[in-house]
Amino acid sequence: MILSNMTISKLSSRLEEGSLKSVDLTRHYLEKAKRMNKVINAYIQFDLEEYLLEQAYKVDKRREKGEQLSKLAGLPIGIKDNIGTKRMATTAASRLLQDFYTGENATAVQRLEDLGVINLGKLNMDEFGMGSSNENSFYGSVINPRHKDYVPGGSSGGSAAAVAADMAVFTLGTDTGGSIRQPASYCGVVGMKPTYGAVSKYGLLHLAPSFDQIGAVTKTVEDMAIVMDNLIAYDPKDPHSKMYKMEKSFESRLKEDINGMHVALPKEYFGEGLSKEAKEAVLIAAQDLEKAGAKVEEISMPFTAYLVSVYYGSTCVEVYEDLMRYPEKITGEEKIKRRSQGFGTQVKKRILLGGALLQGENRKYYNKALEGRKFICNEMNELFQKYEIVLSPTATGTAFKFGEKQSPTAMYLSDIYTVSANIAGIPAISVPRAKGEDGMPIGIQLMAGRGKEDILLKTAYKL
Amino acid sequence: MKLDRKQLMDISKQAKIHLTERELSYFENEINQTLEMFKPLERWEMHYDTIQYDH
Repeated sequence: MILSNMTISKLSSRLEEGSLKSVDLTRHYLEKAKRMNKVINAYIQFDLEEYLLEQAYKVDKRREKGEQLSKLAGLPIGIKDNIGTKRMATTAASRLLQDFYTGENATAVQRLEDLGVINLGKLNMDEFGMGSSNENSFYGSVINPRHKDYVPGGSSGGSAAAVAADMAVFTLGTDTGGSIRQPASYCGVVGMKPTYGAVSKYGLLHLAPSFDQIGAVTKTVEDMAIVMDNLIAYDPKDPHSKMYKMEKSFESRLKEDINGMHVALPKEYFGEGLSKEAKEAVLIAAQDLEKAGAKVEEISMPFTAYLVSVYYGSTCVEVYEDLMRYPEKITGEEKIKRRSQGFGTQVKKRILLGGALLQGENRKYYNKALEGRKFICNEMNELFQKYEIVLSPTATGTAFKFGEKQSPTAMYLSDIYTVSANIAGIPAISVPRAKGEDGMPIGIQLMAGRGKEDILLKTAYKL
Repeated sequence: MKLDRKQLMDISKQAKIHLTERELSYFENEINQTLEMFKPLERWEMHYDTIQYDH
């Protein structure tokens, strides 16, 4: 029985018709994930085999009784380790939270488990979501499954690598400034960050609460549409949760035409630092969208030069304030000791940077970043009155190699294409489109207006 | 504004993180480098409707 690299649609059809049992599928994925994890290091921990097989057996029994189940029922997945799970520790890949239990499932996890999804384990990441290479994990770096010498990207490096290596059918990740889309691009898979508030964040260990969003990594755009159909929902437990009215599922709308759709191509995204292959990948995608009936037009977004400063200026202060509570219920000297020993270098750096931005003269940068965020949100909202889609690179090029150290500023500037979606709270997706000279994958990014996941997905489906 | 060693120590105290001498040197350099990134924000004049469209 060949089960490798099958999509959600194919697997769910097999499960539905009875030619495949979730018990066998779960056993297959668990065995494969454990074997490959010795090299890839995508998982921090696995749940108990007996428990997982018991859950899969229950799904099989429900199907045998003729119960109508979700397409996701019985599929083995993985969850990024900053998303709370009742049965397993939620460490955010930090030494500080090695034994931290949230006591309940995050709403996103609970929704999936209620549908019968089998959660194999918790996925590796940059500590607290801080990093773009997955080199900042207490549990060691994740290896890019496309080539062992390359980073998988970050911070959801485990989520992207697990899908690329077929160690899960799909995974959940989180995206604060590109943390799903950049690793998806580096690993050659599909990664999507929905609209801020579309997927509940209840139970998430935050990095920067007004930017963070739970999303997913899948093998195809069709798979992503199915996952989003099941994940997006209002949650009264999450104060940022939004109510969306969807008359038809995203999946059912994928084949709708995009005739006459307006697609914007910001010229500032094609400047210095972008690799030739990444540029070509976007331009070829633009041609393909034109062939499908869209009108692609170049625009100018002069605020592009300030995106990264606005992003880091705002998020580092949120990091400084939000992470003050860890470790919970510990005070005094013991708290200082544990924080000093438990936080990694990157986390300490961003906390200190956040503190520095609240000090004296530097506070003007923080205030300007907040003002700039409002400005960019307004300008982006205006833009999406005229265009349905903004097309861009996801990253400057292919993944970089381990040990290829960059200056802190260069590392931050590499986020330039992805941060605008988090600043403005809009949905964005990265789809694999090309390969670089080194043979590594290159993704391209599409962004749409708030709550326009349907347009985003059906356009991405054309590529 | 560049941070000096004393300011960094004050920030780390407020952040409830004790830094070793080695860490202080490292973060002083890294944070001052990163603060440079924010300087262009000072010059930014936000004029609404600056996106230029083709149509």
